[in-house]
Amino acid sequence: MAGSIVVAGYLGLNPPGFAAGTVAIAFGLAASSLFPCLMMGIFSKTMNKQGAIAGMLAGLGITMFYVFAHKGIFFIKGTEYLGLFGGKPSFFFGISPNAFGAIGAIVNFAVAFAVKNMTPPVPEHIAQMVEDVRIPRGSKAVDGTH
Amino acid sequence: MGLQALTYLVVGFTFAVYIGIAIWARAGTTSEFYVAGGGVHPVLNGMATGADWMSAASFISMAGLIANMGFGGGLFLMGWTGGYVLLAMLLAPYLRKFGKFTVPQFVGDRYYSKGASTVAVLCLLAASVTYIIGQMTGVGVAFSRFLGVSNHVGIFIGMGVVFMYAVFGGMKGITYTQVAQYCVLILAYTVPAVFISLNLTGNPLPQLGLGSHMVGTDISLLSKLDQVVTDLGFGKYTTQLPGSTLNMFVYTVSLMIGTAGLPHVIVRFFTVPKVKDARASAGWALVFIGILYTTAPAVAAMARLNLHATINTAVMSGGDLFAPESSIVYAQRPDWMKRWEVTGLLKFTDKNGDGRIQYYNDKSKNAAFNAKAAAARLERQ
Amino acid sequence: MSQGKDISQYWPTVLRLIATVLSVWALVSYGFGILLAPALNNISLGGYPLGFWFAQQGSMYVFIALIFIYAWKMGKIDEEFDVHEE
Repeated sequence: MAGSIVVAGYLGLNPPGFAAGTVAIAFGLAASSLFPCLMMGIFSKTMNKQGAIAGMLAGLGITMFYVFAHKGIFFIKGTEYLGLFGGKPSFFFGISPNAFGAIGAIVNFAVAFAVKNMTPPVPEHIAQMVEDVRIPRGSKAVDGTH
Repeated sequence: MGLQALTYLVVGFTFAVYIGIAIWARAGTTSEFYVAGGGVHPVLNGMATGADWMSAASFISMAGLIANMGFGGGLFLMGWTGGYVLLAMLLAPYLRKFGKFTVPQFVGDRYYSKGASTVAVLCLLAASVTYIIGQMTGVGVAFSRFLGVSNHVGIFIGMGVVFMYAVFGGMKGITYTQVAQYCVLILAYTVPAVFISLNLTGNPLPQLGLGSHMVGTDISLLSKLDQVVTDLGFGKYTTQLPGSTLNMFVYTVSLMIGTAGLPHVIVRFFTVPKVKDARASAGWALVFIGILYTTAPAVAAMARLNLHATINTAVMSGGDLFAPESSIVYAQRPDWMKRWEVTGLLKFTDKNGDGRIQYYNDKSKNAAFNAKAAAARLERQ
Repeated sequence: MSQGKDISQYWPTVLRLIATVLSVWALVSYGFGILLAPALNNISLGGYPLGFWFAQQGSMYVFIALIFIYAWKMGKIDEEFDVHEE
């Protein structure tokens, strides 16, 4: 934990943008990786583990790739690689890196469904579990077991 | 008592209140610490979520960004509130029914593999570390201004405080402390906004003041602001776009679904007593966040107008913006500018050597404006 | 159990509600607040151009209302299908 505070502090000294702009990138990363995975976990009974894992990795990966092209690899100044794309910022249809999470999420969904169709289906008890999650009755108090 | 001493006293007092409540609330059982919202009314749970949400980014940085971005700044407002609708309908009640504590636990169980939950942890780390970097930037601003030190020293002090907070407490998890925090934060934000709004428009509600007429005139605040900023060569305040409409659209989507995917918000809804409460709790959270988020655009527009009016006296008198005597003399700049110069976040460069502050868009593409600015520069040489 | 409606219709009913709420959600933010904002700015609401108002004020009020309407409707659906918590 101390380590992560130091890393964050160091990068805070050389921020990749204003506070709200950098926080927006964090939202983009969550949008591109976790949101689709959670949503498919509830609204799709057939989404399997291969699809979910591939989706998260693809969404997170492409978003980081686009952000780092503008802001430097792991936000380290001087490692931007916009030059690979003609040096023009926001080269993907004028979409800024802070906004790219939405594109990452689309990639996540697309990859997840493509991989799902090529891999074994979900076990029966998982589909049953999803059915069960959708109905409020029978909710238990949260147990602290990890 | 000086302003500085008063600031220390107020900040010291609020810290004492937080710690006092934390100690008082700790008298409960240990399990209550984990299921923070368990015995707490959804309204209070919503308030605590609001306190979590009013981070450095929302509290310090957002109004400034909106002031600068104008209409396009709305993407932060819609993005960081619209996500709660998604959260309330698509995730919160179901994750509550699932009955586990954390996002990786849900992912691991639903996708029946350790691998999936490991990848989820990886995603969480990437998002959280980036989130903290952003907040640290804001913490640096707050501490450097508060203590009158440079931005870098401010970040070091901020890191120390965050570290101590994390080691000694975990007390932030206690809902009642956060309720107190919410009250302090929202008052600190809205009280000055009420007075600014009253001063400029005569309407005490900033949300209405933003749509009102300037005191003693029949011109609305927004059209006055539009006129001033376009005269100075900036984009028109009420229509200015962040790049393009497409970018604004995608940016808003990104923030909305990110809100519904960020762990520190989701976790709040794991611990309410019932599935029903998870739905209502999201609504209450948005009510309390909404108070800040509907005030912020008013603060933004009014501060922008005030900034131009401070630097250029012709803004309010309606005289010639480019007359040399309209711009304030650097040596007579207000105290707040001097204090911010210490932090290194505000800088002046006297390009034309007249010892006055001019603030306009020197990258304007508007030919008529450039001609006026050039003429004004010539006159002064 | 017997007094509730056919349980197989529960999830489709929930999805219909979500779709309705989401279309209003998208209309006020992405529609009125972004895509149609230039056109709506010709109308004024007090001193606000209407498109600007939706982007910086109006959509947030609608969001709050939407969540409470959703929560209230869901409470009724749960009881109709007899799946609510005791």
